[in-house]
Amino acid sequence: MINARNKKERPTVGQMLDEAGVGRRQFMKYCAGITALMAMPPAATTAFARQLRAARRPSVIYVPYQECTGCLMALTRSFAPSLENLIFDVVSLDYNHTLMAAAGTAAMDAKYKAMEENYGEYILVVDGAISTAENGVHGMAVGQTFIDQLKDVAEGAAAIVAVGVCASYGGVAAAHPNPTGAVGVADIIKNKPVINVPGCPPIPEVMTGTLVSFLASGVPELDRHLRPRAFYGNTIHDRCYRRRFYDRGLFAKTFDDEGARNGWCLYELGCRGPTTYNACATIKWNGGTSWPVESGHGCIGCSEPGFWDQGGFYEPVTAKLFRERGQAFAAAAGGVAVGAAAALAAKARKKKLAKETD
Amino acid sequence: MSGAIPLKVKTSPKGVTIGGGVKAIGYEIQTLLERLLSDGESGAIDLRGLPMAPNEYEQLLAMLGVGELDLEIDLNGPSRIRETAYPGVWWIQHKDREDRVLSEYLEINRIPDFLCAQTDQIEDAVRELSDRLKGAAEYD
Repeated sequence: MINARNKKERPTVGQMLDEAGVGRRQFMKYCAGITALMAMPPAATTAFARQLRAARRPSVIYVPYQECTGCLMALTRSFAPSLENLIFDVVSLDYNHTLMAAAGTAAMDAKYKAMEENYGEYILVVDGAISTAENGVHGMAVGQTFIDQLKDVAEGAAAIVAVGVCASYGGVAAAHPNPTGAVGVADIIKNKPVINVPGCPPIPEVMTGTLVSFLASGVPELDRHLRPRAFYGNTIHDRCYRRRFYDRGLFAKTFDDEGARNGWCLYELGCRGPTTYNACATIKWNGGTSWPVESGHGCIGCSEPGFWDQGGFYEPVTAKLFRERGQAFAAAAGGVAVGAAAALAAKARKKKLAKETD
Repeated sequence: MSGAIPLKVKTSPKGVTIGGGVKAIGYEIQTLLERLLSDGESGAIDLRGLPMAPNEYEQLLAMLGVGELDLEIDLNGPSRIRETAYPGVWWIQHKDREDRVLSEYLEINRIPDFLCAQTDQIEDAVRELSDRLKGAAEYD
């Protein structure tokens, strides 16, 4: 049993930064990057920086279950705002068996030591789904099921960050028929704050931004699927640069037609933008280079619960509402009708506004 | 007529054609400027968070024009703080060492918060200067 016997006092983030010779304005620059991503006003940046400097350097225990390591790869390739430094210097990443040099008993000892020394205060990051079928025997390591491992390590955590759609909602592992009974962290742990950062993988800046936001001000405001509203508050569709074409009822019919090349809406090609909450359209990927819709492919809805079972990726989002496959065309037509109706309504609003302005 | 010193504008935003999306941002800036005047409350618009096509981004920068101040600071990568043709509206871009944009936003403020010395820094300064002066006195 791990307890608080050997709890250690950790330095603050500010002390760590001072020791590393990181200037205040350099730190403010980093905070400005984070708060801009979270759409916070400049005045809040100063307060955010102050809170973050005062936070104790956290111990982070990163545990992987049914996962593919894609989320970790994305996280370690985070561009803005140079979070490799934050992850590896400012936070104390005490256990991650993919990144750490130790293996076997030595690695497990490092985990137990971190749990003991930081009991009640460490951040637990979970990557991957947890198998529950047949008492969890489909996922085991060191003679313990993933369920038992998770319960043990969660007990002393201040909060749990579930990274990726698998840790959040079961994701790929939970796809129909879900033979291992895969579920997300919040389905098992009920007595600790769980913050879901879904995606396949999640946007690196969202993962690191969520960790930093927790350090500065605790558990952020979450939506009904336990996602931070600062990053998952809008649908992809709401912030999509192709949205204006949807409003005008202009849809690409194939991936390389003239409409697609001119930026028309990819709704009919299966884009899940209207039902997917994520920040891809604004933060983008690879240091803001581009994102799937800008590259010409629709959103696949990877940050939503049950995203593998939402129908074909190349069927309109409404298709799954129709039981018979043959009715997919009707669904597409329905989508177009909705788009056209929205366009008409927008036109009417514009006319009315013009009249009022005159 | 106010006695304010006129701002020297390097590029005038007049005559620039403004598209619908950019105009909407313009109205938001106007609202934030009015709020700054009435309540003293600053605001910001994250330029990376707006669904803009590349030509709209150029249009926006053209609409904002260029004001008197243009600062470049090296803080583990360049940071540029430029006053626009509209006093109180600042264009700020932070980059990393590899020249990748970390953040880019418009700040509606009398002076960008980033440039202001923070309270805890000033407290440190008082303490450090006081120690220094006391030390100096001992050597006198």
